[in-house]
Amino acid sequence: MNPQLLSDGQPVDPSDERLVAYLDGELDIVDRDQLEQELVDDVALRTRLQELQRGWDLLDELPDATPSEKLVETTMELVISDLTKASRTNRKWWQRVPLVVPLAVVCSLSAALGYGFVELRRQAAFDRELDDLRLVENLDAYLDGSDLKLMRTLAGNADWRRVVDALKIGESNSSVVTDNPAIAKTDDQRLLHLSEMPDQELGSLAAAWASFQNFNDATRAKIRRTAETVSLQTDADELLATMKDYSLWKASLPTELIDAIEGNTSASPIEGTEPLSRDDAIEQAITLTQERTRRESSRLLSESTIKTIMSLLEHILKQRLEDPASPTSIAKARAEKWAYERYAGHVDHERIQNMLMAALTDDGRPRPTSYLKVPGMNDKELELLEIWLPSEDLRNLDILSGDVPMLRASALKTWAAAAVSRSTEHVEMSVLDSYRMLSDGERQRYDLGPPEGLQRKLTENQRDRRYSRRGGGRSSRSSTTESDHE
Amino acid sequence: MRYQQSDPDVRLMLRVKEDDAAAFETLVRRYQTRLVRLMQHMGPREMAEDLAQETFLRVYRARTRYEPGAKFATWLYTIAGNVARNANRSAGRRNEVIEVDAPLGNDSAGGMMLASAATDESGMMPTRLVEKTERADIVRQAIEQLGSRQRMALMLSRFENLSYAEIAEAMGLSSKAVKSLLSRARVNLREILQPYIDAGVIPQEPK
Repeated sequence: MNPQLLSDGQPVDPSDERLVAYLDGELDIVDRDQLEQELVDDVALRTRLQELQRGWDLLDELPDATPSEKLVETTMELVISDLTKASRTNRKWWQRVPLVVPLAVVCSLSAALGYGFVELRRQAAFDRELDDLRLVENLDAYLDGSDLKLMRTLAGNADWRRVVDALKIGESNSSVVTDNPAIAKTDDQRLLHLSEMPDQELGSLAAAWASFQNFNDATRAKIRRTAETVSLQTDADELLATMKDYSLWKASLPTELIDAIEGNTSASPIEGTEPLSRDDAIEQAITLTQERTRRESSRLLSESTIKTIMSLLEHILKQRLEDPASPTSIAKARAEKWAYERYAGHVDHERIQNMLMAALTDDGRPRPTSYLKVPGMNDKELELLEIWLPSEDLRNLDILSGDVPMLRASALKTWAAAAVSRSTEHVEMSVLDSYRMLSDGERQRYDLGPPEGLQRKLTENQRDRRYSRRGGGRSSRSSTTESDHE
Repeated sequence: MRYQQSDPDVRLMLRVKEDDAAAFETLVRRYQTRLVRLMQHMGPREMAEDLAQETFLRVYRARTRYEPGAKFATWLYTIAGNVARNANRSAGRRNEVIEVDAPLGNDSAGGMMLASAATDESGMMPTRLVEKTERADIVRQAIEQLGSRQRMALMLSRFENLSYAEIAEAMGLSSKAVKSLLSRARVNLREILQPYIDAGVIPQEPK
């Protein structure tokens, strides 16, 4: 039993090498077929093949390795301690500590020990606070999203994802939670993140921290447990992102829907109605959010987008008015007639133009211009609007409405109406403004007259200006002056 | 890019590169058993877990330099090979041939133990068909008699199912050299174990 073994430098029998390559599946098809033919014909070669394979098969006798259950845990502890050590060498105010310690040692051993003890305790408390800070960064998510089953249900709902994305369009700066789940995973990253955090976010974080500190021990323990449970999930990052989204969504929902979604047993349905199932409640809440986000999305339109929309509306109106028999031309003629009669021959064409545009973008809600009977924007005009929109607004439109034509049309109409409303908006005129708008001659006349006369005149001016705002007059200065001539 | 798309561990490692500790924990869980088994044969046996841990730590420390040029496992085993080699050098075991790739040959203690397991006092007859744990000991000692490079190639081929090309990458060799290494490893295993098979200590056919 004294086998002579081949060292790495010794040549190996080419036949053995070929057999081993065959056993390892490393021969190409041609060589393999050829060898298999030889194996059929050559008993000795077949025996050699079996011998080489048998030793290999015996490797199955080796038991599986069974690492200690603590291996993962201790490895992660080492990684974290490694990171902490590395980060401390980078911290400027940390670097001062080694200067203090030797001085203290020189002065007095006991003082150094005392310092060390205090420092250790301070460090331990600091580390604990940093751990809690990780929770506080996502406090709302942990508080609202502890039902992981619900979170996974929502994450799998495409409609929910879309409305939450739409909801987030205008909320990006208002959330305490960090957008990047990878941020603040380690102590040093958290410190770095804190040092670079804008004041507003820092203030929000401080408020969340204060809330966390005000919770009782049981609530704090529950939040820590939720965070730990989430961190142990294989989809922890995605789960936390869903929890943050849910928290944001939840804040926009009425209580009865939240209770139905979360399955709160204390939730009492409206008398005479069946309690909502979770699925129905989610569906209703999604519809509600869709309506809300569409309504609110118009306030996100930039000034340049408003101008773009207004230019297009002017273009559309011009095209419609080219046909004198079109309903828009008829409506315009009626409005001009009305203004002529109302202002004794003085017609404010700009105001009428604005009134027509307001009627054009009428979204069905009662408005002073509804009587104009101008047909709303048709599909072709809406399509044109979509083409004219800047890409950023188009992205928002996609998030809001996806590929659903009805939703897209509805959002576009809302935006067009908002553009008209915003571009014709006027600052409320004060009494002083009204006084300043009087001509010099008028001012002199009213100044010399009884105060009641001046007051009546100024009040009339303000009333006219308010009307102009409702009716869509772009500039009421001229209309006010016209009314003066009545 | 190809590996990034096809190897989920590469994607995990790219997350680790972005300081995602959770992704690293997943990798540790996924590879701990395989790495400990490798270390049981490549380094001082009693240090297998420590060496596996050291390998993971080195992977983490090297995360910022990681580039997905190959399978993640290949990169991991390259590091593991270095860790095992350093550990063996530190342990300075004179009885084991670690740095030189010569096998232990006929004067090894392992070989003597194998012999005693296989024969009776007369040295002529097989004593018995040994139990599973003893068979495992025989096989383990047989592996220990191989040179470290043969052993590494054997472990990566047999237990990690790496191709010649992948083993070559992990060990910094050519595919041809790996082919020769694995041939020598098989031939040597056959030389060591065949007497036990012939003597009936180990069954002829796998159980």
